[in-house]
Amino acid sequence: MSEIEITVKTIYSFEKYLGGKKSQKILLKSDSTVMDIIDILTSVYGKTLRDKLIQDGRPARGMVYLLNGRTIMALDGLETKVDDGDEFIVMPPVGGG
Amino acid sequence: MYTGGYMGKVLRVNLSTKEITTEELPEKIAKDFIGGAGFGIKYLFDEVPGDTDALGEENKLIFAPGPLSGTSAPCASRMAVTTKSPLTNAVGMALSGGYFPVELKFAGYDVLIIEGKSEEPVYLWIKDDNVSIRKADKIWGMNTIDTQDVLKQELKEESARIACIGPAGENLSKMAAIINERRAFGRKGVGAVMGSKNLKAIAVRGTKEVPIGNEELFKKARSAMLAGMKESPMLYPHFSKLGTPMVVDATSALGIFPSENYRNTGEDDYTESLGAESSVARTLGNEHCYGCPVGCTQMKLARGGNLKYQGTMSDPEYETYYSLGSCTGVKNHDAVIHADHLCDKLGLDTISVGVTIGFAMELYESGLLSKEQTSGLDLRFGNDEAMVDAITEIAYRNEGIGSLLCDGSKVLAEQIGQGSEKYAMHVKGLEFPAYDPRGAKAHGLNYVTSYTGADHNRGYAPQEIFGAEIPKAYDRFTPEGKGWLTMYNQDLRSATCDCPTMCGFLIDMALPHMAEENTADMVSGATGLDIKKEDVMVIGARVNNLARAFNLTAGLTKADDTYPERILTEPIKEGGSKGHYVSPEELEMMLNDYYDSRNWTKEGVPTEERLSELGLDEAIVKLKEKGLL
Ligand code: SF4
Repeated sequence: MSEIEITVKTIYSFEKYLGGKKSQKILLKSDSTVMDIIDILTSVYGKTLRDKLIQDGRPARGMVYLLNGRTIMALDGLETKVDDGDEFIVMPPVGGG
Repeated sequence: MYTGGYMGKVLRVNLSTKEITTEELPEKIAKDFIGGAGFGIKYLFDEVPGDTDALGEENKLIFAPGPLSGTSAPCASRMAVTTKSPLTNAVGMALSGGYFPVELKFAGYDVLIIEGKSEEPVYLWIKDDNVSIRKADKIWGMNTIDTQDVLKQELKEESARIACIGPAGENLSKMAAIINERRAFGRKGVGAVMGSKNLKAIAVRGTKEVPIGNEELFKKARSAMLAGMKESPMLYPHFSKLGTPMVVDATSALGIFPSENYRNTGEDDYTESLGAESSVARTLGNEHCYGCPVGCTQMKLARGGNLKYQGTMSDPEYETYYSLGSCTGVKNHDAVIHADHLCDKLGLDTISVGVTIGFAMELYESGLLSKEQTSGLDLRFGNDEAMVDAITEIAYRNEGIGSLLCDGSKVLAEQIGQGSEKYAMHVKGLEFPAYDPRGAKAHGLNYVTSYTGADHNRGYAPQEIFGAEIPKAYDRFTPEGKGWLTMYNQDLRSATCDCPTMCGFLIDMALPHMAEENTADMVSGATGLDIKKEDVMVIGARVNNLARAFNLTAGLTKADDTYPERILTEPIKEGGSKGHYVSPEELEMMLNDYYDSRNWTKEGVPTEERLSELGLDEAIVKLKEKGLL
């Protein structure tokens, strides 16, 4: 089965849930979705991470998920398909000016 | 009639005739405009002709807190000042929080209107019902921090709250702010209008209580609001602990943290030097506005680097890390803290000043500005000392670089010519805030259409930046639907933050899903008026339409709803928004969508039908008189 590689990035204060890494590469089966990325991350970093990311089966309120810079909420949410070379960013809630 | 929230009084001070009068706050204005920016725009429209000289005697300064200010409503500490802006020649409206705004309520007033022009420097002393105009010889020329201290001593009132201008306002810099405590009515040159009236400061002490019209409803609404805040995943601990500086990391990840006057957004990393982590290392603690449990203001101490900066304490916001940081290519965190402090002290808007200096740096590097013109400053990107020195030159309008830069980037481009306006990053004269609009199209369309010019606070678009589903998430790179979305965000912001007057951070970040209901219930509870959830967006639309009508009578047209050429032709070269820009066709499409959504003509003029629906007959009459309708 062919595999794809995607980059997972985060920003300050959330890297503690991702093994202290602001950027890391993970391997997935082709035809994977954003949910598969989260499953893999959870298998490595545990349930605390999952609880931060998913609430009631939906992306947790306030967390920001971007696939190649676009919010997944304007794509297919957790079902959004990912491709080889994609960049997935997960960020804690931020805002203001 | 309202039975609470409002103190029921408008205070009018004419600095030419020295007349001081009060009048009743009409119920219709209260109901139709709520307060804050709504009151400001209404009084401005009715009393100041659009073609008035912004720095002339006829312009007015209208200070207005909202019905919630001074009550126990959380985060409602704010006040709007509205005037005709010398920077944009349009409606100039700026908000500040802290403690000065509520003090005006405690003194018994919902609106303070300053008219005319004093012959010599004066300040205003409002102590409940006693209002006097006093000589300001002693404090004229003084910075804003000393002014506040000295006035308190002179008045023997430690607990007086003071709003004042610094040297920048006295010297009529179009980037001058009005400062209260450490906070600012920052943008659009409101400080220059105060300076043009020879009004150095307004000191207030009040001892009254703000009555509550419907205790039961107010209590209920307040509990719901506090519960919403507690549940918010954003306010605690993130926002409360980190404040806005953490946004540097977020917008950098999105590739929209602008740098070097927008010529290299996304190419350089600023998170290490200016981001949240380096910010936390300098944080001393946080400060709160009146009645705010969040306390997002982060006090920081410059601990190292250049001797000049060491020991400076200030509270730069995200916007300042951009304007006096990345926009000028400066990575020295302590320099940004120092520059922020200097702007507050001299009474300048950090955003406009930083962006104007960044623009001058680009002109200098491309040979359009000589070292002679910069008064010897080596204005290269990244030269933090030159950036810091330029601020003082600007505040005093010093010959050379000071007088060239002190009226902002639009005026600088006019003076330099030679095609430089392509890189003058402003809309209608107001400098860009810290989101590169090429990678956030609704956010950017708000810069283009906001009644105040490029102002992030009039229509922040969390739907495309953070995927907020209010009412749904949008792809930030595409233009589709952005006209409607921009209108929605502008009306929501006006009605739920700028008028009541609630802190935008709170509503935008923590309570966007309940903003309309929250406003209706809180305002109805405080005032005893019956404002329904459905009325809220109508009030927002009313405010934005009336402001547009003022701008049209001031001579602005559709041609002013545009970007500098850089945004329309140069794609972002690197990072998370690489390849994106806003083509002229795309802008036209979004603008048409926006005008259509608002029921405005193709030329951006509100239709008679729409104005009449909103009850704005006064706007119909004036636009007709001017042949605009
Ligand atoms: S969140 Fe910040 S700006 Fe808003 S009221 Fe509270 S302290 Fe003031």
